[in-house]
Amino acid sequence: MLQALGSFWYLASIPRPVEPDAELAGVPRAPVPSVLCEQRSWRGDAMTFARRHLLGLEDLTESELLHILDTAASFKQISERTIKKVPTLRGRTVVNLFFEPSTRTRLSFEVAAKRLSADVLSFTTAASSTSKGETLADTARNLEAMSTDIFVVRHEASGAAQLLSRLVRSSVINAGDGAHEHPTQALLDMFTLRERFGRLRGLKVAIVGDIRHSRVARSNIFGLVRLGAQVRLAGPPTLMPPRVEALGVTVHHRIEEALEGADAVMMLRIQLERQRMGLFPSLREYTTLYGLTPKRLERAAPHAIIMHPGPVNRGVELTPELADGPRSVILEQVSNGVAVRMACLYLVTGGSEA
Amino acid sequence: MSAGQTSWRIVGGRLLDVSESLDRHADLLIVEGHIAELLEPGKPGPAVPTLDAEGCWVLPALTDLHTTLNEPGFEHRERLSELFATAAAGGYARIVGAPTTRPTPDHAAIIDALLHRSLADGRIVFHPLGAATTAHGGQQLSEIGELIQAGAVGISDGGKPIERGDILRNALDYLCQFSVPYFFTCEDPGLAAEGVMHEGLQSTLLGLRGVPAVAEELMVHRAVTLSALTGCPVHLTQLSTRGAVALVRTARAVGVKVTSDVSPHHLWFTDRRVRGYGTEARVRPPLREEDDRQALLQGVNDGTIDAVASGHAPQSLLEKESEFEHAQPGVSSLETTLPAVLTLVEAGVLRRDRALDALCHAPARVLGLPAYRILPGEPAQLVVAEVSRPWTVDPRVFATPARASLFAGVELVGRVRYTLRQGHLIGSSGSPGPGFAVRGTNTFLTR
Repeated sequence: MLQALGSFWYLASIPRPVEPDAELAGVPRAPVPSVLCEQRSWRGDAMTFARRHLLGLEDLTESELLHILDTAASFKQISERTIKKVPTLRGRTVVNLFFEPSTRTRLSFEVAAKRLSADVLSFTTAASSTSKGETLADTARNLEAMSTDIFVVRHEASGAAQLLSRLVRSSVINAGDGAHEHPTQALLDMFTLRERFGRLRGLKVAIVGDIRHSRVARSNIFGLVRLGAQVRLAGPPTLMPPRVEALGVTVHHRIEEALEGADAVMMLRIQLERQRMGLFPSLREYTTLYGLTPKRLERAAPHAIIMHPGPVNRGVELTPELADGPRSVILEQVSNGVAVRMACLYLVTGGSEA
Repeated sequence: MSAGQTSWRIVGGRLLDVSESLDRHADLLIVEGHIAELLEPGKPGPAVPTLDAEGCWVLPALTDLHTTLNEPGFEHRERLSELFATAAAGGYARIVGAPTTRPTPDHAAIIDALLHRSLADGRIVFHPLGAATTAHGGQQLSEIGELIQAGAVGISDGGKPIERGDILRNALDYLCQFSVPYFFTCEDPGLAAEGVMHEGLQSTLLGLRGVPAVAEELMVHRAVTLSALTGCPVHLTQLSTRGAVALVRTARAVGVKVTSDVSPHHLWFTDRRVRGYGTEARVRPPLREEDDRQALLQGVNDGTIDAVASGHAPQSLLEKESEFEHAQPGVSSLETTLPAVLTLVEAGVLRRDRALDALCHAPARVLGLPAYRILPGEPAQLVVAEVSRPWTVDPRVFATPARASLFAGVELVGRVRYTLRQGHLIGSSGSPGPGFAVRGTNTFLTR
């Protein structure tokens, strides 16, 4: 049997985690060490992450996704030490090109890059209607002329990261392009889920909110479905993207249905702009129909966790008690975010040491 | 333009004119700008310069029903001289210009000016369309009678459909006295407002706002119903949906005077072409699904769709090298329309007789213009297209500075070798256009 386990022989002596039951309901579970996670990339697998860019999760294989999560797990340990720095990307330059305002994601990438000993530059600009593609292309070319290694780009137009990757020689990490993808957010969401539950396959995950305009939702759908999770979407029909069932998810227009037995509930932020566009009548009605309340949460599994990409509209998609309560893993997501971004920065440079 | 030379012998080509049921390997003798006779290959004839048409089809020169005009008003995209050059390079001897200039052609003086410019250039026969309402505002009718007297061959909404039903009905009613068609843009402005591509699975995957197919179907229904009510002939420009094709088929079956056209790229591509966000795929109407594409092909094959129109809508480099949703819609199409269609014919996807009619003859029928025919005595309006060897489309040698093309890098047959109008050689391939050299990496050239 030890031979059959191969390189995992040491697992035989480590106790397996306790299955959740009613007595443990409501008590946050200890994180599952990644070495015990059922889904891990096989060490001998030649198909590790070998891409120059991280533009989205749509094309990533199961193996690549798991490799990123495993790499993030090892980087997470660094963030728990006193000296939170490794020389991995020493001498490399990471440029944060943020054409959309964002404090958290930008800071998260900055912390991640600095923990890897990279030099960080942040370039923030509001993308007004007059500054279109020329600004993106021009800015990128100018910065590249200073020989940067990695661009981390956030832009309000879908496809901006792909456009950038065609214009520059450096690596490009998509930090959110329009309504298209936000791969590092989904990766940290998946990391958080895997850490909590030891696996993603078969997990019931409900994503609630404005799916239509959400890059976080899209990236999560691609990644979670690829890794075998059961994804349920909930929201008003006007905020559902067309043909989304074709992605392997189920669509619900009553939040209670999506919550039934769910292991995790991911609430998305609702934007007032969508109401002005006539997609729903008022925030009040949206909250009445789709806001997460303790009563509605009872439908979910007893161990269910609450996730949110932030920032939270307390009183709209989440009641304050749920946002800050024991079931919420929102702050865990944030700290996992640094580890996941460290992994992504490391992997797009080929995973080589400085 | 080779000054003055109007007598040629076109040697070694296959003459194809579906309106005359002509399909023959023969030499074509042209004397003083008119077709003199069809000669057996090798049979001696008068000493005139020869044009080698070995491995080529010789067709009547093409007429285009839908090209966007950018001068005056948008000269940074394409000047009239460049438009005529690219048309000639694409095998067109006659083009109909949509009223997309600024100022709008809602006044006879602008129609006059456009005609003067085209006559001064001399290469292409040019027919402008007049604007239905002043400044395309959809409120006040233009002086349509004066526009037609000045030379407009039809009236169009120029891409901005009239929204109010009563004003549209009046426009069609009023037009009935002039026997010219109303050119309809089939797009509901409200439903299409935010969309940059077809609304479907691809738009969901790409995170882009979509234009649903019903935006077109609703307007086609509107056009067809009002045409039936008023008796005014309507021409539906640039169809893209299966629903529209079905509506047109039903309407024609009950005798409604409706004609329509489709672009070559809608016969080739679907919304999957948008993947990668290349802005050459940003077109209006958007590229739709495979079922729509098949219905459009079927529509051309069974005659429901009368014509193939280039849909030429040139944009400047600046307007195309940007994020997908901020790019201006439109591609350079005149130089690739004939080859794109002939490639579909060679692939067996389009029926040859229908395809050639759609390019060469139907456009003239829609407008009541004189037909171009390969017949002794007729003026020599011809295009020689090389079908024996494929060639890879390179927009850098287009005669227009607008280089966004859905066919960049695609291998097509049917490259235009010669275009003749009234016996004058107005276009011949191999001569690069006046465009500037491409600097840096053009996203739509790296595909």
